Amino acid sequence: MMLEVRGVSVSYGSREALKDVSFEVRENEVLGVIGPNGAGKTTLLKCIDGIIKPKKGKILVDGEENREIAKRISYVPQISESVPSVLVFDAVLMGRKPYMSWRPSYNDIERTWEVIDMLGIDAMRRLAELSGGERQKVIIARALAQEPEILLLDEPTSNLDIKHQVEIMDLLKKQERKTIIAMHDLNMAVRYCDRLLMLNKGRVYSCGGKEILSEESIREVYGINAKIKKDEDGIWIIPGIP
Amino acid sequence: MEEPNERRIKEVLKSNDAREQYREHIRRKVLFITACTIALMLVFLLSLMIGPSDISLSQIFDPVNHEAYTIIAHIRLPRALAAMVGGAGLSIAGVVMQSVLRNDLASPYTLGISHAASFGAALSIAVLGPELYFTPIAAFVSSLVAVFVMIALAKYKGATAETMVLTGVALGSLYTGGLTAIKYFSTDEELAAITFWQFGDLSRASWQEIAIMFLCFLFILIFFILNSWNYNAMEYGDDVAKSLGVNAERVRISGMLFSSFITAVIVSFVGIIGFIGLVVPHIVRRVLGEDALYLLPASCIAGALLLLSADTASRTLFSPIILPVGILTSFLGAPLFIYLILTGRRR
Repeated sequence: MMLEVRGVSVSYGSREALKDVSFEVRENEVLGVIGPNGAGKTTLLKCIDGIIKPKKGKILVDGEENREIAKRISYVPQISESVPSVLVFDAVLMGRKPYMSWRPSYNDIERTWEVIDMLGIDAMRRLAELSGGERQKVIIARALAQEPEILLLDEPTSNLDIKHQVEIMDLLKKQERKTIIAMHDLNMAVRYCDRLLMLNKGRVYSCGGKEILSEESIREVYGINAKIKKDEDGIWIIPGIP
Repeated sequence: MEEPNERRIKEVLKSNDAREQYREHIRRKVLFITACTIALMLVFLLSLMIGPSDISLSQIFDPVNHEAYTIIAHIRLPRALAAMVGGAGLSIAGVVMQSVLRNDLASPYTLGISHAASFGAALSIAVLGPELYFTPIAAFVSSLVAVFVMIALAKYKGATAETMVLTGVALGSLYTGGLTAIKYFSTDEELAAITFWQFGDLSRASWQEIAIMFLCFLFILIFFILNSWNYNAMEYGDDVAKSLGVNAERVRISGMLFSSFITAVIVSFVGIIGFIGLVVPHIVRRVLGEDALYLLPASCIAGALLLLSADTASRTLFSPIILPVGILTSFLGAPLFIYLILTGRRR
């Protein structure tokens, strides 16, 4: 199974959100998509999931376009304040939608319980009454119930406290699936991602290992000064130091 | 330190507990539907029994009692059936509109379809006269025009919930203006006929009309139930629905088309019955939660029950005066509308 993004361009009216974006995901790895606000991270994820149709270019899954995308790719949007007042169980069961006929089967219910047990979430609470971190876990559970080959997540840890950030990222790392995460926190990205894709104004600035994060690339893409430190624990990005 | 085995057993027990709770939750939903069904049957019998001349339970099932038979077959039974089909049809229309538009205030009444029907009926009364049986046809055609305008605009501008709600509200206001203009230029008799038509009145529907309403209702109910998980997915917004393989635009347009259609059929035959389509889905949502698979059948039964009870009350409370049921449901609906504004949740 592999995902290829080939020369994808998207525009909203006259504004070009993505310009000729190409990359591939072959291994079961975590790819972090980084770049400033408006760089096209969300648009790229929506494009891969078929929510937005690209103006030019192709998204190929195993060399084919648009094949049962809902069963192969799942999408976790940015944390939203407005959620339906459903039970956590029903919210996770929604992930089985691509497999359902007009209603969930016994198998769908069982798969849902498996995911709920695996993540250790409380199935009988209401989605709307959960805290941000707990709610995000439920939405990720929904994405996992979809049994996708590729997980797409749009800023899954924004607005979460540090404990939930680590919990969510550990959880994603543990899945050993092809995972594409749009992120703002560069230190989190370096810590948890196997590869990075840096977007700037809708174009791929660079794509590769952690070494693409340099003082120079941060200055050029984000327009700020930052210091990069390396020690035995890893790489550290300290923003705001000239 | 716990033994790993012990911990595993605890986890399994906890998860079994949650499963039992979930089954209990489903049983409660089924229980609610069953209770409403029993209540509906009781009210149905009651509605056949009470009225200006009381008929006892044994007389209902007595084949040789001609007087009771005539009253039931020609007056009370068609009226009760019209109430049940009308209440059920308006309620499922409300459930689906609220789901696909992600708007608590969406209903057949608030989105201008009823107003379009009134306009059509008034136009037909003013031009063709009040006696003709064209009135329901004109009402129906006029509401379909409103539906198609709404859907055409949505297609052109992208079928988002906002476009459809705003178009519905705008159309409602346009038709109200048209209606007022017709009334202004009408004679006294025409004005009386228009006003009378606007009051929902369940005694109006003939047996054939009830059969038409019922068939449309049945077809649309089946369509809605087959789509109930699509409506559930729409509650999370279009992006999530699409990522789950749901064609959000198509589900929204077909949902609006069919819920408007059943509304148009009902309103054309029995006139405007406000708020049932808004009140019933809300009450049922509070009790059952959001799952459309249970919400739709439960709203059918509850809607039938509510309108039949309201109609029975409206024709017996002030006997011998028979109040049009539309007046009663509007009185019922207004306080609830305000209650919704005060306790508004989500979205």
